[in-house]
Formats: sequence, structure tokens, C-alpha cells
Amino acid sequence: MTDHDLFPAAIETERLRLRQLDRGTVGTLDLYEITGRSETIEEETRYLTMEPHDTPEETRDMIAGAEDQRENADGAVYAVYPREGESGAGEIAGTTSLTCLWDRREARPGIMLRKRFWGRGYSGERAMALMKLAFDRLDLEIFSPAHFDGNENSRRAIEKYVGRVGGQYEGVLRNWVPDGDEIHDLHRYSVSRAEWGANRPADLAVEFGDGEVANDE
Amino acid sequence: MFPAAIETERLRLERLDHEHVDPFELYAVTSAPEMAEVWRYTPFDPHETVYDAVEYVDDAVDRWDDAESADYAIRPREGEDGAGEFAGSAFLNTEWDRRTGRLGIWLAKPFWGRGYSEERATALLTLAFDRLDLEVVSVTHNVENDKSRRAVGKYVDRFGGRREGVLRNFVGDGDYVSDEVRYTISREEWLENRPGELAVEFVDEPDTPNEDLGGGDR
Repeated sequence: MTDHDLFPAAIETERLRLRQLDRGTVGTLDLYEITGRSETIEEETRYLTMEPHDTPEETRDMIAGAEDQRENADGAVYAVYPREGESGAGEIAGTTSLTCLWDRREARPGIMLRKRFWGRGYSGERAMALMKLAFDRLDLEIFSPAHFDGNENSRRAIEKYVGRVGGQYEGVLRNWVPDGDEIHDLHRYSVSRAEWGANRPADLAVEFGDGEVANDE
Repeated sequence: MFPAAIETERLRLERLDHEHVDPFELYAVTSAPEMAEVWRYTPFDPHETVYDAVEYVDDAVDRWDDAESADYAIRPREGEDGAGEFAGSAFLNTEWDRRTGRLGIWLAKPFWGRGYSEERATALLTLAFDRLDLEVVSVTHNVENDKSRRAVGKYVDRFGGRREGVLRNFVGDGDYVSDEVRYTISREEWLENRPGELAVEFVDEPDTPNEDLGGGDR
């Protein structure tokens, strides 16, 4: 285990609980049900670089990769769970990540949400939590969500939460994301620390917790 | 893969290596106080000793040998004021996985205002698309760098490319963090808008007899 605590082991928002993805919190086969066996995984990953997993070993590698990333302070990956009161409470609704480009003082979010949890505003809610992590805790300057060309769901979700905190659409970067034989154009947005400071929701309910709390439920 | 030299109407680009660039002529520019206004928009640290210039060339040689970047010294050709002098440095950085070439240049002050930047861009665009089969050429500059904005905007327009936007904190290196304007030109745009009479000539090194190839006599 690492001894740094840059990234909280757990994050709670009004409706969501995020827990850092590691071998202690999420069973490989449980996650593989979502990343590999699920009938909706093709649709869920259509606009992501993530490919549906063909074997549980790929899911194991994903978890190990998340642990490495955290150890190296390159970022953190969280499993997303709806809290009590939500439909599907306690299930894994997806995964989300925050990648830190320290040289650029930049944090890049990512998310993969299962289809049955779409349309609830979870992406925006977790984005607020990750912005709080990026700006208030990690003292970074820029939060830069992005989506591939054609990903209308992500576009709407990002436009909404970026607009809410006064951020901006930057533009489309051609040939930016190599993905197998394809290279995707990437639409990039950014929120600065100043914009966050001026526009963050006053009633933002985000709490960072350590690992022990997370293990109770 | 990269031509050892490229000739345009007024310029000769020569591979930036120890054979073609003297560290003292490089150092004279990279340490000149008047160049500070160039470096302030880049992560580049002005050279403090001539050894920094030697290392600068070493790095360019490594990138060339690894096919990561074609770095050239720029020299005006005969007939130009300062013909044969070291006028600056230009590169085409090859991001193969993105099929993208990234342009960069800096010029010594006496050579500003002559349109050399555009001439060199034409040469390296030709290299990127016609020879290296890349799909996109990109260039960025610090959002406050008005000189680059004018020079880059002009040739990007001319070749039908586009300004993508301002990317905040797009460059970060040590204490230097910069908002950058990014532009791209695609191969299609290039083919449609490339100059009709293209005066760009690649000069390859003479083939070295390769005795290691094939079975041969033993």
C-alpha cells in the first residue's frame, strides 16, 4: 500500500458513493459482470477508448492499473455506487477517474456509466465531486472534460455541468486520441480554479472519506 | 526517413546535428539577451554555457535517430542577406500514433519579418504529407504571443486549415504553464490548397553501402 493520501478512498455526494477501485474494494468477477458480460457494454463503451473485456483477466488488469496509477499519484479510479434511496442502490453503476497532469496543473475526468443508470444526472454530480477534489484538495488549476465526436450524451452532460460552473468549450482537437485502428477527434472543455471558485454550487454536498468508512457498507 | 536537407526558394534546412551546426553559432543565438522575448512564450531556458548548446544538438540527434522529430537548422541561401548563417531552428515532431506532425520554429532576430516561417512551414508540410504520409499537421502558440498568432494564422489560412481553439494549460514544463492556441491542417486541406508550383526539394544523404545486408561472401 502507498502512504500518500492525495486521493480520498471514498467520496460521498447527495446520491452517490465513490470508492477507490482496488482489489480490496471490488471483486474482479463482480466488476467483470459489468465490463465484460453485460449486454449493454458495447453501447456503453462505444465512445470510449475502453474496449469491452473479453476475459476476467482484463478486468483484473484494469484494477491493477488503477492501483498503479494511484501509487504513482497519476490519478485515481473510483467505482460509482448509488446510495440508499436510489434505484439500484449499492450496485456498481460504473467507474470514474481523475487523471492528474501535474506539469500542466491539470485534472482530466473520465467516466463509464452503465446504461440503466443513464439520464439521472449522475455524471454531473460526480463531476462536481471530482472538481472539488481537483481544485480544493489537489490545488490544480484546470479541470478538462472531453468527449469524442458524435458522443451526444456526454456532450449534453458536460455542457450542462461545465456551463453551471462557468467553464468553457475550447474546441475540437483533430486526430487526438489513437484507439486501435481509429484516431478520434476530441472535443475539449475546461473549468479553471477561478471559475470554480466563483460558481461552485453553494449547497454542494461532497464529503471525502478514508477507507475504513467505505468498508462498512 | 527524414531528408538530410530541404531546400526552398530562399532557405536551406539542414539536419540539426554536430556535422551541420557549430555549437558556438547556436549558442550565440540561444544565449542572446534579445531572444528573451521569444523564449518567454516557450518552456525553453536560454543557454548559459556552450555546453547547453551541445546538449541541445545531442537531443535533436536522439529524436532524429528515434524517428520522433526532424530538427533542422535554417540557413538563408545565396542572394539572401546573411546567406549561410545560422538563422534559427525548426522541427517537425512526429506523433505517429496520432498520424500527426507538430511544427515548431524559432528564428534569430535579424531574420524576422522576411516570411521565413511560412516558407519553412511549406517545406515541413510537404515533408509531413507527401513524404511521411501523416494525416494532420498541428501547431500551437502561447495565447499571448501576437507575433506567432500573425505568422501562424496566415499560413494556416492559406493552406485551408483551422484554428481549433484556446487550450488552457496545454503546455506544462517545470514552472512554465501556458494556454495555447492550437491549429491544424489536414492532408485533404493541404492537397486542396498547396502551392501550385512547389519549390521544395528534399536532399537525401548519399546511400551508404550497406555491407551488413544480405548473405554476401563470408
